[in-house]
Amino acid sequence: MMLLKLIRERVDEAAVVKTVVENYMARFANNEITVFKNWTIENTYLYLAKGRKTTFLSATGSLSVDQVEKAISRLMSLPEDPLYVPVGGPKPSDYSEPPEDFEKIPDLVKKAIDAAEGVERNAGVIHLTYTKAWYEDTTGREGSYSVNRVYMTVRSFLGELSATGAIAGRRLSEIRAEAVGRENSQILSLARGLPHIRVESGVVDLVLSPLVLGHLIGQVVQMWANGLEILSGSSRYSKEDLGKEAASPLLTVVEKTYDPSVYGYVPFDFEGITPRLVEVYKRGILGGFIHNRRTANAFGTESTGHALYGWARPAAGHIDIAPGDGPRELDALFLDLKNGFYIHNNWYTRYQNVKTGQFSTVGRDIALQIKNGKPAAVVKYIRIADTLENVVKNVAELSKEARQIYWWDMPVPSTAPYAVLRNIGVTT
Amino acid sequence: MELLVKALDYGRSLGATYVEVRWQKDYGSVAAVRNGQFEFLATFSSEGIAIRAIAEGGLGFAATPELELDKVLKAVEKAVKLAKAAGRVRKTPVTLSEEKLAKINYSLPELDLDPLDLVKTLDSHTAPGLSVRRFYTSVWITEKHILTSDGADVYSRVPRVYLFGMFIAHEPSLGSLQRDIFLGGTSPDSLRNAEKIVEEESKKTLVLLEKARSVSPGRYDIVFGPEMTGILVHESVGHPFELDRIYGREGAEAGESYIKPNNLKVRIGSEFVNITDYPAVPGTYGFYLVDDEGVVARPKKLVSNGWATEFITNRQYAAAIGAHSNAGARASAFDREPIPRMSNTYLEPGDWRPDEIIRDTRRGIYVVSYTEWNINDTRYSGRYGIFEGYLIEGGELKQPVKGFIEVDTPELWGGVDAVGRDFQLFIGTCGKGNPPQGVPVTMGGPTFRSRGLRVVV
Repeated sequence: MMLLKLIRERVDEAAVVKTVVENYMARFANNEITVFKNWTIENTYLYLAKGRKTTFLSATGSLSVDQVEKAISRLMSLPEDPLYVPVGGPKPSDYSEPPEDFEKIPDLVKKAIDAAEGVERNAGVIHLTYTKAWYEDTTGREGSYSVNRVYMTVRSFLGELSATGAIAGRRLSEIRAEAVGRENSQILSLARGLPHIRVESGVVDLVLSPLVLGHLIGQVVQMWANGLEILSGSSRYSKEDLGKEAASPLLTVVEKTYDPSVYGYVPFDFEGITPRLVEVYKRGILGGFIHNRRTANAFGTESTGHALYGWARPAAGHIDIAPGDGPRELDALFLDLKNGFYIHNNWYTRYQNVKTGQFSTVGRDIALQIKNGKPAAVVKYIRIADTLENVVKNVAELSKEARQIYWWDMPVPSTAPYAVLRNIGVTT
Repeated sequence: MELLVKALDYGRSLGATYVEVRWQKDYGSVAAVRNGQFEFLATFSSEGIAIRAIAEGGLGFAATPELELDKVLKAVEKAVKLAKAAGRVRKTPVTLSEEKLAKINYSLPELDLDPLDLVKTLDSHTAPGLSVRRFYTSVWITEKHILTSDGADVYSRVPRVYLFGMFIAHEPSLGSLQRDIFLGGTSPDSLRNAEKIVEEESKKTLVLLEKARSVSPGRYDIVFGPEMTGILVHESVGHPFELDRIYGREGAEAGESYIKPNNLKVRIGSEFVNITDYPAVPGTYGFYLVDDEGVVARPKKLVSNGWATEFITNRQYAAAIGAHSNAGARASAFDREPIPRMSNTYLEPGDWRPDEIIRDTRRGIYVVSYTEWNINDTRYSGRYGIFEGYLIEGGELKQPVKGFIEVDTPELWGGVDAVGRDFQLFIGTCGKGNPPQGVPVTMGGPTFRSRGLRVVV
């Protein structure tokens, strides 16, 4: 790019990332589209290094000469970057696919609403993005890609009850809108006619939906298996924990941003590195952390290609929680649970302490009390209040089917099964 | 300016009954240090034009970062086309309330702050002995120029500073304690006392890890300090009073409200509860004079003597209840649509001195600040972790305690019987919308007491 030629004489190293993200989003509520939006995010990101000093810049469209000039002159006065690593690595791969047709979006909204039989109203969103990215650095490495991604959320309401269905993928054809609406209708039917209760604080057994399990494991990967958080001392884990038993032997969690079939797939990151498989847990053994080149270098290892949103901090793009051999159907999972609670969705996860992972998250949509394997009551305002360590260690069963999901309050897009967890704290 | 006028005219020529064009530019720099080490310094700039159009009963939104006339006109075409497509599947057309719209140009003085110097200085004021200390600061300017087809013409230039600090004290025999602090605003005074606050809060993290003991679960009279007042007002009154939530627009994401469209006149709390949202408080992080639809800001009296009296609204939802907008429409960036948002939300002061409230409490807890917190999506059932709290026995403060207050909104505000004359605001970034929009807000008020709330460990 022209920009690199202009600044090559002024700094030792530089890298440019340019992204153009075309967004189409239909939001709906009360069975009506509230707004249909299109917006383009076009950004140029620049990394500069002189000696071991570094700085980052970003701007919509192109960077202004003034912004670059100021950054170069400021660079000289910065402290050395303790995570500095020379620009380099294998050549970024090229990949291209055509954009999906946004005009199909309103039809999907209608299909989901029509399929949610017996509910009073539906709200939700379809968000389609088409991302094009270019990478180039002063070592001559360059590459480009274009990818689609799409997710749909439908929340169906019936009186005081609600159920959220979500689906994510890489193509509009993967969005089975009718199935999402139909499943909401089925979940709500489980609660029809049941008494409403509030939970007593205590330690209980739980069935978690893929939305809840994916949310919580996403938090673990983002915060505890993240190279920067480990270096900062904010993670529960350290390098010495690798290879040790850290979770239930049923739990295998893989970061798979590298996989072209998943929502979140990218062919290369902000450092031009192709993401690679990271086995965070392999049958409960802590297997690896996500890194960019900067944090990997500090650990004496190779980047995993997770500089996904910038140079400063590694981030997860998609996590895959391997299914188990438990039943697919909710009623069979309830029989396995025997007594406890089913939590369909959650939001508002907050930490008392990120290092110990003490958190609570609010049950959202339907929560059911299960007695002798059958729904006995609707539970209002339930919270999971425990530690992330107990969540990953107390997984007792995973269903044999996992699904690809993403919605507004999910930290990382996920492929996740249903799970039975034993001895988890809940409160109200 | 000429570009915006052309965009507006073009939108109308395409059949839109309403067109709104907003140019917005946000630019500044951010810096971070972790455990005393330089983490990064970055500069950023985000600029573009947003168009909202109402056509054939639907609402369309389009945004472009490109400022060339042909690109902007293409975005206008897209907004009108999307509006028409949305209108085809609506049962009721989107309408806006009629307003007397502003024509104004205002700017606040720039903040002369270097984010890296700031985080380095503050880091040097943390107490020794913490296992983790992190600081992140952003200093930036937001410029907006808004034109609407019904007459608004508003230019504004507002600088802001935001500071986040996190301290973790970790001692294997005692466990861990974490404190997060947020400071900032729009005036040169925004970070006054920041060094002292960092010193005190980091020291407290170490002291409270060692000394705070779990409270005996039960019912207590709780005296909340202004930081607690802020989070309680924001979560349990500010959010559920956003009229778009009440009408279900945020149903799939940020949630709805315990207030329902068929019952807006509800009792929220005791007669001592008066809650206001007012954007034009000088120097505040949530400051603005005119909202992003051109409506002039005024205090919104959300709760008067315990009754819900007004809601945070934009023009679309004001029209739904046959009212005028109270200037609640805000957009966080050029590529986001303006939706009803809080600004500076606070409990109005009463006439008690804070120490009088404590002296008047026989058995209770004085809660100064919070940790882990959350609330359900209709904003009815909340949980607030105690970071700094002290037992009150016979009107005197005793040992520090830890635990959680779990409280339903009517119980919290219904039990209020004493409101202090002190007043303080705290900053936050309020999340809502899809795509997500974090907007700068403040929240606060005076010390107050609520009787007989449930405390758990």
